[in-house]
Amino acid sequence: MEQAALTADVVETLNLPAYPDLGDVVSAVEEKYGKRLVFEEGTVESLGEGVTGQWLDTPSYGIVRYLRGAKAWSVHVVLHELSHILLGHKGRPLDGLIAGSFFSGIGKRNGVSWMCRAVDVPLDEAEAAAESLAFGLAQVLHATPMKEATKAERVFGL
Amino acid sequence: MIAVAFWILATVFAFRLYFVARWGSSTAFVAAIGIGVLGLFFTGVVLPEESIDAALGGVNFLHLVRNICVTCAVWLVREGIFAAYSPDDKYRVRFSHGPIAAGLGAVVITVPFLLQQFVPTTLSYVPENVQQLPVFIYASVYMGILALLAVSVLRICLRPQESLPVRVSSRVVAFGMAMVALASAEEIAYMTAMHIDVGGSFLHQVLYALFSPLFYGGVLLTSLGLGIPPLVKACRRLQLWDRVALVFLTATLGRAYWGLSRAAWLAGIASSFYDNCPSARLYEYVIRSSDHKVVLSGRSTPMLAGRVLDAVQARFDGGVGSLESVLPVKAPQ
Repeated sequence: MEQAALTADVVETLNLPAYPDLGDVVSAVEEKYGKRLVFEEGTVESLGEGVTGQWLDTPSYGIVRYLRGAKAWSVHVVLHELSHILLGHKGRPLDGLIAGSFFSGIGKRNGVSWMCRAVDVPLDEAEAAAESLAFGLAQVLHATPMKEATKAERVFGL
Repeated sequence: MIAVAFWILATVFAFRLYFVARWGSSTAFVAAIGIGVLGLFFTGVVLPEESIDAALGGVNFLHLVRNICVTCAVWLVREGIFAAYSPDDKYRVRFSHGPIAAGLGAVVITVPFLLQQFVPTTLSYVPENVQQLPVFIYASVYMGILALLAVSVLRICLRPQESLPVRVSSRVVAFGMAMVALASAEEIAYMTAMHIDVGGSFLHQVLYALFSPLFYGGVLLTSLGLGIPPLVKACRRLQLWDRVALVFLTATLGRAYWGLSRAAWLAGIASSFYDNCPSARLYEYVIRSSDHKVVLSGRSTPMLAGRVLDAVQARFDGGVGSLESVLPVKAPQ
């Protein structure tokens, strides 16, 4: 499926309200995920050089870590991690020692897996899909609410 | 100035007609602007007044037709503005808003005009004939009605408005109408001075010279004010500001951010003009900018591009409230 179509399809399944906020998106993802999500602000030290966000999947909940930056950007990082969850991606081996394909789920250590939004490497297929979905979600999130025109605006043809 | 007012009003009229035909926009003011254009056309900006008046009998009927057009246009502008700004329709029951009042206004202007001793076409019709009582009454009644209408529009235009484009438009119209009212009062003073022969010729000349800049300046400003909403609408529909910002950001940052080749960069600049969703591409720039600041090059952005990015980013950052305020940050127990 093309990325744009995949993005539209996933957004459609979320049943978001007309003009959702980030809280609505998080709730919809939690419902799909079947677990609670908690969010933590990360640092370059805790996330790693060149990494802007992480999703840690534990048996009982998910943790999304994001690097502090401009608000829109940090939200985008969060959306990227949420996109991995929505796309059903599995975690990458935590320490890179255990061989496994990107989607295999092998490499969970103590039930923890994670995914990064790495920006200093070319995006592979999963990262590209997650980034595309993140842009799609951002578009939904930043859609301008239809403000009811005032009487004067209607008469003036605005 | 009359020519400028005519062409501006004609352009606004053409835009308005286009919006009505293309997007089914509001038809308010279209008739007013159209009649205003006709009124200004009769001032001789395109065809000489003598030629038009000759077609009407060559006895200055053009003067009456023009004044009726202007009165009608201001009356319609007033109706449109009252319809827009009044909280309800109660104003409609007032006599001055009824079609009878409009018709009566036309009659009280026309009757004295018809009672005059007609003279051949002249470009200085009022100064040359104001000694005739019917001409004095005709011109004074016309100016008086215009002044009353203008003051009425001025007052309602000064009411608070929520929408910025409407507010700006109404203030410009208010200023224009204030000038029209002032010009009308000043013209009545001039005609009175001429009719009863008070004041010297210097005073007469000053009063005469003041009318045109005040009156047509007011018409010009009113035209500009009425042209603001369709202009804003066009900018919104065309997403003009987003396109300009996108072209600028692509030109200044496109190569650094996306590593584009020269050809791809030029194509990117060109495509920015007609992008289906410039807002989405601006968002990509905002994200890429932070990627660069936070994780990638750390390279500084040129000052002007940085300002444009800041302005765009402020839009995407949204209202008040931190990220933490909308995310469940507390770790589960």
